[in-house]
Amino acid sequence: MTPTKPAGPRVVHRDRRLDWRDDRGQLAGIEALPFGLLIFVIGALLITNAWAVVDTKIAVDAAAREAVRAYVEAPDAATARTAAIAAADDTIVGHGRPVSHLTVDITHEAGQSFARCVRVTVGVHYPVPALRLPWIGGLGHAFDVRAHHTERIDPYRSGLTGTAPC
Amino acid sequence: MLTGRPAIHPGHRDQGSVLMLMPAAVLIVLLLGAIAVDLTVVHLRQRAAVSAAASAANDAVTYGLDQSALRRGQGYHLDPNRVARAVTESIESQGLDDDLVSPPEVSQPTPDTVTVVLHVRALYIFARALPHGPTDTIVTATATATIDQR
Repeated sequence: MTPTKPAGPRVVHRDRRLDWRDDRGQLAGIEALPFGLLIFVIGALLITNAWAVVDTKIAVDAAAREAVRAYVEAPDAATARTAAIAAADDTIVGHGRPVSHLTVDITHEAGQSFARCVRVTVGVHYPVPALRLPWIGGLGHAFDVRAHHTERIDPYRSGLTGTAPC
Repeated sequence: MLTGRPAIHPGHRDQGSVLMLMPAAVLIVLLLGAIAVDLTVVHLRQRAAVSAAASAANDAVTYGLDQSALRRGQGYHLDPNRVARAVTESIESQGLDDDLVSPPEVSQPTPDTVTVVLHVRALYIFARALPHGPTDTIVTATATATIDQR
């Protein structure tokens, strides 16, 4: 009498050897995915950085304009410098940026002192990070965005000493 | 006989189409990005021109006072020569004089008002690379300043 096998599921032994030439499970054009991802990631970073430059340019342009307006309307040199820097700071804060990186340069035409008719130039510099990420902030330092604005101290307005030489 | 593979209909296969769609998508993104950059450059140029025109008008409306007329009791009048000189000096100090298409247009709608119109050339960055494409555009900026006597 021959022994009989117990009834149960049939065990199938698969051949587990890998065939490296087999491409089953591969998506058609799979090589395009990593390259496409890289291109779009780098492109998105470039666009973000370009917009950061544009946004900074708008901010520093407005800051320079407001600063020079505050400067030429001040009654004296000390007040003018304080008012110009405060105006630039307020403008940068209004654009949602910290003022810690802001640089304001104030120069008079031909090195003259604060007086009527003197042309004043206010230059504003603000650094743009090399990589700007949302919620993380800026990383690195790419270059400075600059803007300058020029106006003349009013020759005939009240509140200033001296005469108008122009 | 069933083999488990789907039937292949000639003319309806899309295998490998992603290889053609990816370069097309990248090209479209680059094209839209280039248009955005060029338009942004023009926009920034116009903002700079408006700021320069406002500064020039503000300078001219005070610097251009005709003092002799004021001392004669004729009120606040502007001297056209002084106004023109103030506008020219202001534009030069802003660094825009080389980009002007034409000299600044200065007018005095009222005796105490100066209007400055600037036509400034704005160069494209990417559009110049196109054959027969535009190299620049002209932006116009207008600003008016009125004296406030106190």
